[in-house]
Order: sequence, then C-alpha cells, then structure tokens
Amino acid sequence: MLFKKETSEANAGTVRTVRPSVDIQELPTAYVLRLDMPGTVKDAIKAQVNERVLTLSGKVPAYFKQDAALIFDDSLPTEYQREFTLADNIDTQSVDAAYELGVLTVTLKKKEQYLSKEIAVQ
Amino acid sequence: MIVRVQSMPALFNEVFGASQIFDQMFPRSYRAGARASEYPYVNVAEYKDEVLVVAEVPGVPKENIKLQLHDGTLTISGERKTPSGENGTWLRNEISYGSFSRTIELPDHVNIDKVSAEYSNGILRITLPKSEEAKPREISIR
Repeated sequence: MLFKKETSEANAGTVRTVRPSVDIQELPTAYVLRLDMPGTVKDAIKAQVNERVLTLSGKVPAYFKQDAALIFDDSLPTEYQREFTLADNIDTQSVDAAYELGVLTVTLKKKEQYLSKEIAVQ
Repeated sequence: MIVRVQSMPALFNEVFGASQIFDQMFPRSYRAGARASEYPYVNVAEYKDEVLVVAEVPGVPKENIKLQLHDGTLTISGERKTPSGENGTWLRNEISYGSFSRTIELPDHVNIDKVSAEYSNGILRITLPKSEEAKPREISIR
C-alpha cells in the first residue's frame, strides 16, 4: 500500500483542462462543430460568444470518489475548454448547442447576405 | 502523482512513469495495458470492495459497445459511426470513426461473475467487485 496514492491526495485541487477534439463541417447555410466532451452534463456546459470569439466549456464531475486508489489513468479531465474565432460570415446571434452521448454539437448559422443564391435572369 | 504508461511492449516489462521503481512495486496486473494513444481512454481505480474502470467512449450508443471478460482481461470494443445526415464539406476532422477495441488486464482478485456496467454521457463505468479473499479483513490474534 505504500506506493499507492489516494486520489484525494494525488488530485487535491488539481485542475486538468482538456482541449476537446473537434470536427467542423460546412453546410450551405451553417457550420456544424462536434466536440468530444464525455462525462460532463448539459447544465455544466457553457457556450459563449464575446467579440467574435466562441468559447465552449464544460465542467466534469470527478470520475472517482475520494477514497479511490488510482491504478492508472489516461485522462482525468476536470473541465473542457476550447475557443474558436468566428469569421464575419457567421451570425453570432444564432449559436445553437446540443449535448448527446458525450458529444457537444454546435450549429452556427451563416449570415443571410453570405448565402449563395440563384438570381433569375429576366 | 499521475503515472502513465508511455508505451506497451509485448512483454510485461513496461515502466510506469519515469521511475523503474514503480515497475517493481506494482504487481504485474496493475501494469495492465494502458497507453495514452489507445482508444478508448481508460482510467482504473481501486476501492476497498471493488475495482472501477471508467472508459471514455463519446459518440457511441451503448448498443454499439461490447464488453468481454476473458482469461483475466477486460475487452471494450465497438464501433463509432461517422455522423450521418448533413453532407457538408469537412473543414476539420480530429475525431476518429470506425471500429475500436482495447483490452486491459484485470487485477486477479476480481469476481468476474458480478461485474456490472453502465453508460451515460459518453462514459462507460464498469464495476468489478473484489473476490472475498481480496477484501481487507481483520485477523484476530490469539
């Protein structure tokens, strides 16, 4: 037992911010972002836009209780955070976010004037 | 203290963290096959009565995850399907899709008949109760 540290001792007050992996797809009228943020909950996720910077974050409750003796770990996040600078063609008023299966999906609509459209020739 | 296996050679001679000392201190089973680059990410901790495995499997519904216990190992496998629906232009792709499988060695004092697993928000929690002989107990002195 001498060399097994209690997680409470090992992790006390440690903040581990993980930068989530992201997929970005461009659709005709919007951009869709998918971020891997397992282990958080909807209410603990924040999506904020400030000066064209989109900040996505989420707190993660501890995977283990205080009395656990950690054997090994690949990833013990306490929070996720990632920022994106939004181009001029994105309507910052239209940020939509959904969380399912540990994946955060964010949809950003393009501004009307940037959408391609056909003009009928008279 | 965070110890991490940097690589997993075929034989059980890998080293936890920077110090060789850890390798000698941990029983063989504690040096089970963790590797940072493997998917899914796995964390293992031990309690008085049970061992808890927490695996990160985002984007995979539980119907697509398979758990197998075999010969003292636990294998987590499944498939993460490429999101369907929109067929846009990919601007960035950091998330991997497709089949995955990862095997970790279990501490040998686990009662494999009573293993349970639950999935929520991309996290798989596998509870492995310890066998009776592995639980701490007091020995009376006569």
